Amino acid sequence: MSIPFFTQARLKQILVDHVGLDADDIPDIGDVAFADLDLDSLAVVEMQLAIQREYGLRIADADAAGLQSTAAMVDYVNVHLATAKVA
Amino acid sequence: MNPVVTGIGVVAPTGIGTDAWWEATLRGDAGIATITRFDASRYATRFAGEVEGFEGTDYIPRRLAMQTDRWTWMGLAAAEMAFADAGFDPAGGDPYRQAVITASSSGGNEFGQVEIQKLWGKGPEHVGAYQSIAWFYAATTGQISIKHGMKGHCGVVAAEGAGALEALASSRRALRRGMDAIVSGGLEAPIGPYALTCQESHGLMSTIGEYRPFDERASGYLPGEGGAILLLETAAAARARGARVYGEIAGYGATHDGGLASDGVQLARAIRLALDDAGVAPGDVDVVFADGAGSVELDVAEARALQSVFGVREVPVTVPKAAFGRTYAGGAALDVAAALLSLRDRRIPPPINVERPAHDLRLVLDHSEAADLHTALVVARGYGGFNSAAVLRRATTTQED
Repeated sequence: MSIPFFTQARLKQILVDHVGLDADDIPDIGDVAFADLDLDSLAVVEMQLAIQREYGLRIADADAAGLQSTAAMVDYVNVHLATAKVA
Repeated sequence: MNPVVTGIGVVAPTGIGTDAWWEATLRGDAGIATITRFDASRYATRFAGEVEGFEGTDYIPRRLAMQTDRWTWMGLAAAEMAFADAGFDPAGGDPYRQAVITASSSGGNEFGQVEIQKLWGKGPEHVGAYQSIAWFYAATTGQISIKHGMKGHCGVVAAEGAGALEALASSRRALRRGMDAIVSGGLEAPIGPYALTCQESHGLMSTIGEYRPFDERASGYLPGEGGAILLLETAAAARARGARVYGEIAGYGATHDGGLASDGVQLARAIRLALDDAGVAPGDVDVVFADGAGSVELDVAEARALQSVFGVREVPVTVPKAAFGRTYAGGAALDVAAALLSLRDRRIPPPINVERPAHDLRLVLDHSEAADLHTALVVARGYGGFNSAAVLRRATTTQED
């Protein structure tokens, strides 16, 4: 079973679909702070909920506060996907 | 000091935009049809006044539309219209002396419907974060306040069909206590599965698809969506910026039926309180915009109340909402808008579908009866026993403080 690989492009799509951002406002690669995308705390929560649903993982509350940029979010998800138990 | 109305914005089943709606109202256009927002074929009530062609993203960015309900989209749109109408820019004033006080009767229904279906259909992890801010009654007030930086005495009032008059009364109090400008009025978007179920539970809606207030064939009311935003300013502030004034909120009164059957006694008292507050005698009122509940008992009670205050057939009475339905928090706001425009244009819109008047009221059945109008009374009732009344006076060249 292959492990899904989370990319900035996927994160961008989630932001477009669930937060209503314009695709043009988010780069496909690189690191952008959520604050620079004008995401308030509720938008970040909504994004995290969408990631949780789509990838079947839970972002711990303690970790969530520290994930404040696209690169941080992508790295976090990939680390957790790689270490998740395979059924 | 009586605050004045300097801007009006309307989103209604018979028109988007104040001018379009008012022209439709004077013509007597009908805005109630088979519900299309969802399949209501198995509901007892299958007809409503829907605002066709209203898209939130025509007025606000997609990011904001995704975190708000249709009812809030309408409120944001109507607020923009009211500002434009008034030539008023919130950015030009002290943010702490500007506020938003609207009415709401059920909050974000369509948004909530989608989320509650996800909750029970897929599980709690599927409920989005924005439900937390989209559903609650103050969402429209909050979003208007945030968008326009109006940080003063904000609030929301829930009194069902009487809500918008209560919001105007709260606004009047706040303006007397230091606010310069308040965005007020109310809207509702209650056409959805759970929303309609809630409305059906009280048995006051028509199950034969008709809304004929004060008619022999009254069988209940039909619901509608939409409402109006009214920009209120102190008379001094309006004068200082040379604003065009529609009229003043000259008097207000409110009572409650206290859990007893509504027999019109408390409603009559609310009307008298409003007249006294305005320093106006019944004979000075030129037109009454009645609540028009549309069910026999409630119509009888309102007719009795009007007759006890004004006498029989002494004052012209109309119910413009017969054309588009009872819009709950929007109802009295639209009535105030209609009353002010009536005073401006000296024309009274007819109550449509009232063909066999039943209650010895002087209903304005002639097509937009022309009259010299100076003072209007708006009457609004809410399910549960709310009774509110407001006296509006046409703008004069010298508005006294």
